[in-house]
Amino acid sequence: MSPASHQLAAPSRTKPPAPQGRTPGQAIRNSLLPAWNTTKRLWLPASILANILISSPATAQHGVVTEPPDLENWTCRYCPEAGIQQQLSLHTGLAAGFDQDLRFAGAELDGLDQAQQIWLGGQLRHRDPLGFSLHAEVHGLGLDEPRLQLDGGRQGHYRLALNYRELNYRSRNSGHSPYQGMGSASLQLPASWVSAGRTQDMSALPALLKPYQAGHERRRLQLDAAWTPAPRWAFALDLDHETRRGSRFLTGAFLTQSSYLPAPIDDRSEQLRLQGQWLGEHWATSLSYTGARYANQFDALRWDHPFSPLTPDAAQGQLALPPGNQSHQLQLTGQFFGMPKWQASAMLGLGRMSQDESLLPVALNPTLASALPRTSAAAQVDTHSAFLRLNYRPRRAVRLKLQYRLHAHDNSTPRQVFTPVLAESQATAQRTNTNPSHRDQQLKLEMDQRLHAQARLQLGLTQKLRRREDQARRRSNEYKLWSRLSLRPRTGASFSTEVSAARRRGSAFEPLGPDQPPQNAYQRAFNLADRERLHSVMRLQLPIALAPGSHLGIQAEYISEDFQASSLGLRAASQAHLNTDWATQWGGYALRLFGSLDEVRFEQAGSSTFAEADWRADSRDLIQAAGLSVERAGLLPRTDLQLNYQYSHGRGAIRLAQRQGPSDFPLLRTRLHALALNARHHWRPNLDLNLYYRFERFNDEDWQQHGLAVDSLPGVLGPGQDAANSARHAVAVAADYRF
Amino acid sequence: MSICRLPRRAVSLVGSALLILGLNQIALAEAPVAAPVSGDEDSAPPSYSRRGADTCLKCHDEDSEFPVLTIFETPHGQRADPRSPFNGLQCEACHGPAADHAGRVAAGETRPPPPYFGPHSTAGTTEQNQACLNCHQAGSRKHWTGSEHEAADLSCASCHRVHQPHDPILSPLQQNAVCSQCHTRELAQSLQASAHPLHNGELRCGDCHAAHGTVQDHLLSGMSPNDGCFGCHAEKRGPFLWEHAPVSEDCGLCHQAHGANHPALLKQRPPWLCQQCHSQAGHPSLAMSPESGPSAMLSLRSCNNCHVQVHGSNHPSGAALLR
Repeated sequence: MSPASHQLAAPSRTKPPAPQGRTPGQAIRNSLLPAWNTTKRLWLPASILANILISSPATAQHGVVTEPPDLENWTCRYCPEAGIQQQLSLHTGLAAGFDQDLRFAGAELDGLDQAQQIWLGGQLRHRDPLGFSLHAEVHGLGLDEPRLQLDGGRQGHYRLALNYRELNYRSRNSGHSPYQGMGSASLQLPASWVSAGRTQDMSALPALLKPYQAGHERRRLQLDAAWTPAPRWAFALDLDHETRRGSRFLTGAFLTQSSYLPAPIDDRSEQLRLQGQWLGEHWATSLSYTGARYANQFDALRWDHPFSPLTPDAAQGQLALPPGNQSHQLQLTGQFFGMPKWQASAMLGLGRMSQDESLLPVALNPTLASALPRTSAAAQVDTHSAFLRLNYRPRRAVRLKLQYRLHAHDNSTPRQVFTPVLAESQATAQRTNTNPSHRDQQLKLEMDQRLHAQARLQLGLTQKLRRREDQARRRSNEYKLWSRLSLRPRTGASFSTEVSAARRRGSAFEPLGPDQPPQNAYQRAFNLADRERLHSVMRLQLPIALAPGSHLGIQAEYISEDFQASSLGLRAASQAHLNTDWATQWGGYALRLFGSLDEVRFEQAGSSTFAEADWRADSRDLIQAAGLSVERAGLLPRTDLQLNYQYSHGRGAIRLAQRQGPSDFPLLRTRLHALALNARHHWRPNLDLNLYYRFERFNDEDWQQHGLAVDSLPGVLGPGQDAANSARHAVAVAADYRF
Repeated sequence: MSICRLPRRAVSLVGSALLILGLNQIALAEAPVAAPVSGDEDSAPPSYSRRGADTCLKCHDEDSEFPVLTIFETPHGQRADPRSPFNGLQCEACHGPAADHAGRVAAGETRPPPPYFGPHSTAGTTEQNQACLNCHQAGSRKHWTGSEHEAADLSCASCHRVHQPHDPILSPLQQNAVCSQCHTRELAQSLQASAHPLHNGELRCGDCHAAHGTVQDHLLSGMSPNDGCFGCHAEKRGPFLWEHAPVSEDCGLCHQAHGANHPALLKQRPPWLCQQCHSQAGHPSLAMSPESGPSAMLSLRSCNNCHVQVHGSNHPSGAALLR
């Protein structure tokens, strides 16, 4: 008996009943069996016919259904009063941080940018018997990441929601820079700056360095509206508006000399989504439009070149900042569920991404000024997508799935010849802009068979065909075979194991166009190269008799990728993951403990002579993570406690093997301890007192980034970032009053 | 067409295996499968309780082992909505006909569970989910059947708590905690040195993934793998005058979205990441050893010390992604 038939029994439900008991389909099947015994050649077509007949809606009409209840007796008199429900609460608190920029993970306050801060918040909930509701919530007024939420409407008819949030990002590592106007689109060196060919010879540098903190602030406003004019129709509108302001380090290069530049971030983006949806007896469909726009306040970053200029007119450089762009997508989605044994879903999509910002001059150097083939980018990409999924369930225990997906990314930007200028000092060979396009097709065949009430076997074949333009390999083709066995005994335990093997091959590698810089002929890009991939996963979950709700989970996963046909580039990669978690409820405590171990390995080869491989690099990242969460209601009289601790330790090792022998780079290390403690005391029925404590210790050792002064590299005016090594505490008390 | 290019042997082997295994179920005898909740074929269909929710609430009050009154603080408990369960079959709209569960039980006998949901329900996942899909068929569930979560035997109740006034998975601050109960690998990655802000709720799993099924692998939202990324990183969308081909193909080729041990969520750090694809003339693939000492090609951002526009450049002189 399927739930659908129960719903059919009710006057308000219109779903077709599912077949139950001895259906005509079974009779047809039985009648076909003798034919199979006598003429085996007819078995397949007979079975197909039987499937089709069994799955027809007409046969389903004969199913036995539950008698509908007499709803007049269902008065719901024990249901809570359907009166007006109102709740208003206010909370305020005082937070003291021993250091700034401590984030309060998942608690009622996010962001603390001063040593002491008072914050306010509150919420209002209203719901009445007619279905009208309003939910207004404000969090963290006074902190640097406030949130506002308004949500109201009439259930089943319409809904309006407004969300506003500020999110701040600050780099953990502060830096230094000699530039004036840090974070603006024009970075100038002070008048007393002394240029030199090497950073160590920039004599005025030490006196002119100023501290710099990269970071930005996001302000996000979301407006959602939904309208249900009739039970079968629904319309929705979602509008997102976001602004970002701040700065970050970019780099500007003149040949082999480079400078770290505190560049501006000042942009805004909008996204509008409109959707209309119809739900019928046997199918549902929706049409949606998504439009997005991005606008950058600055189109370029200009900076003074701190090194001795190659030519007198090459003292300034200019970078293009991300151009404004827009995107439009139209999507038609449908679903068919009118036959008990067949289900289908499909999607057709069209899209266009375009960008037509004015092009910057080819160089600032007036002696190299030249006309451009066009004045604006005129860049355009058209996308086409199609998707079809067919699910066929000939029996309760079996499902077959066929899925096809197409996604085409056609870059139609005009190809024209440009004459790039290198380092503001010389024109280089002409280059034609390339239009990398790709067309992906994926075909999946899957079978899902329930072998037993507690055992399930899945088998599948996936083919991925990818065609590319303007890349070294025009076609690649990957086949994947996979299987999954799931066991779920009634004891509450579960076990699943999945194994897949994939093989990618493709067309011959070809050199790119004549004006593209040549590449070592042995090099293979890892996303194009021949590959063998093995993936296995095992998940085990065991109930523990210690206490109800206790379980122990173990998960192991291993991925191996082999690129043995690539003599240069990535040769092999692997990922291993082992995790165990334990959850229990014991003596009023709810505990969860997890620990995991991840290993990521890469093996790659290169050539320092532009010939065959003569060196190999092996890298190994090992990450350990652990967490503990404890919740206890009523630990002390009327006091609840919540504790959350997380730990992560990452290590990265890189070993280089070459003719001179192996050598190891220093270890990369990061370590994080984060502790959050919340205690809530229910002082009075309408007043709660809260105590929050947060602790976070983070340190990292990155030989590539840290410990290098601004002038440590002769050719790079660096950021002078130090290793992050911080321990932060914060305490907050708050009161929560309900009217 | 891709189908035409499938090797015949592979098609015939796997296709035949799938077809035969499926059709075999029709021709051969019944195998033991999940017991239908209504019992065997000859038994009477289950019947509804006499008084609907009033029958249930006589036992399931706030003092019971399974209190249910908070359902009236949720959308499902609103009788003003014509689509709400409490405007129709009330508790049994979801839990199924529960006359047996509510009936008298002889001393020593175990009370039969309601047909759907609850710790002792014997209904299979598909049947339980169908109880939800009877009303929630459309919307984001259009691609549910055959999706990764459905294929993994997840039920709606695995993630949703419909009796709680605030379903944790719909809460921005609690959603990630619900997902990470199964997706522990992603939880561990989010604690790594460079990660999206998943562990403090600034970014929700649902911002990139559509858990009810999508047209993408890994339940990614959008029509292409990058569509979800452009929601926050719209400046990377381009298209640019000078494109970097892998960027337009899949951000995940270089970035590990949940967190990585390398800056900018990179799977590997430059120069090695770049050297997995590039060995350009003029930039011989140098074997940079620790003994080489700090160099512009090895230290700081390595290749990106110069090639800063790795996501694409709009500068006429940006062919090499320098400008």
